[in-house]
Amino acid sequence: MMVLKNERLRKLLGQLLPVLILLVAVLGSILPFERAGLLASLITAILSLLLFVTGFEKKKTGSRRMVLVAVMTALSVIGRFIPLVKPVTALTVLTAIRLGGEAGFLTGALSALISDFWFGIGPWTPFQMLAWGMIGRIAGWLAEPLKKHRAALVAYGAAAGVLFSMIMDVFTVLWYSGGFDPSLYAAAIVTALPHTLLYSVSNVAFLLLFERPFGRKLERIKRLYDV
Amino acid sequence: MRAFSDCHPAAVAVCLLCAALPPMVSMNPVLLLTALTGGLLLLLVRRGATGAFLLSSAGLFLLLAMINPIFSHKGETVLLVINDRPITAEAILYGFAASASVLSALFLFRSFTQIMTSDRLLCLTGMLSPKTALLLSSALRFVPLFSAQAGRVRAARRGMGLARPDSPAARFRENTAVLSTMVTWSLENGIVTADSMAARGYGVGKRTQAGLFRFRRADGAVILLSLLLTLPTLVGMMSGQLAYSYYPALSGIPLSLPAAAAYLSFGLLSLMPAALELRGIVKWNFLQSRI
Repeated sequence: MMVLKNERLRKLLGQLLPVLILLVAVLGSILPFERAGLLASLITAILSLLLFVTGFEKKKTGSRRMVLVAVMTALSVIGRFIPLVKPVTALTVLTAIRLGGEAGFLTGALSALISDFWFGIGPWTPFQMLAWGMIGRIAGWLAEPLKKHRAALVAYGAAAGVLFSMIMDVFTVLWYSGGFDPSLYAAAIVTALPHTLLYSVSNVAFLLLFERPFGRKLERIKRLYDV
Repeated sequence: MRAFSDCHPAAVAVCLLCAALPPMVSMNPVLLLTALTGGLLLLLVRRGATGAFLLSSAGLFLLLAMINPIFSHKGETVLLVINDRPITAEAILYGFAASASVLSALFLFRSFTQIMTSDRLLCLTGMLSPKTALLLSSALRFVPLFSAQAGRVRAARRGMGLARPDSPAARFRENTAVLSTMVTWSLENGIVTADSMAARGYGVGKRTQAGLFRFRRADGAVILLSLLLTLPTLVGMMSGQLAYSYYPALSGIPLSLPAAAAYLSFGLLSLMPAALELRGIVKWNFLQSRI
């Protein structure tokens, strides 16, 4: 019953995807569609997620590492049920700096997907997955400074809140008006300002609150079980 | 033939995505109305919408429709002037079109969320990447497991007389202690799970997936039909035959032959999920009535 049972087909998909993403992005900006911008951005988001997944599929990941990512994902999904303040970003960033950027991407993207089972899956889901995934991926690249300096961690948490909100606002505007309308985007950002502020503040608060205990626990597990 | 929601997840996903795409991309009023009707019918047939949901979507519909005339002052039929800014009939109609576009996707994806239970989504993910599906399924299992464990930790602390939730500060400390215990426990538990997986041979051979859903010929038919029915709309949108402009004045609704073909096929596509679902329900009631 599996459509992509064929290993070769999956590999081919992995090689084709980067080309496809570029193609869609270029086509989206020149096609005479009424709302090509929305379609192109949606397809680009989905293809980027697929690209990541095919890369992940190819690699060999130890079972302990896999399960640790699943544990962190489950914890942040549970966290998304806390009203108003969401520790998803904080947990994603902490996973990324302790277990690597790939683990961070997976934690962010999968938490978005799973929690959307409860909050509703929609065209916004790929964007949320990508936004939270990228927050984790970038934290993975910046792992060293983020681990060493608390100020960097605070700055990253605040920036991630703003970034997440701005990415989702791009989608909101695209969805509503089809193209990118700067005045609508500005309005969307202003309307979302309280949320953005709340995101950033709760990100920073959770990062400061969780950094030491989570860091210690994750490091202990890593040392003890050699993950 | 089974009800729509009992079809193979791939068939459900392809059909609903095909139906959701045109109204998101095109602003053609015929397509938008068709999509809105189809999405609403599917919700009603499946009894997937409460009265409160329908009421709030009607409110959202009006609210979204009002945003556009505030920001867009194009169009030639000026209805009134506020602060030297003209409010035009075209901008209002465009607002209604944009909000129909958003609402139709909301309706379809609400059904999508209700039909795509986690096992179905796992089946879909497994087709693309068994490894991601494994990750997804373990995380899905951990969510209720951790919630239950948090309850046990809380109960144990209460039993030991440690929990004194009499002030906000004390409650905060209590929650932090439970969380800390939970995190350590879940990480350790995760390692045990992983070792147990490894002991049973995880990572030795190729990953396979238990097939909960059989792909039957009817599922193939649904997929093929969905794709074929999307084709005229796609061609119509690409060639500009379905283009409808709101500014500066409303253009006439395109009625050429390709456009008519697109309306017909998209109408069938939009009604297909609701019709299949209704068929399944009627058949089920009929079979039950004979027992």
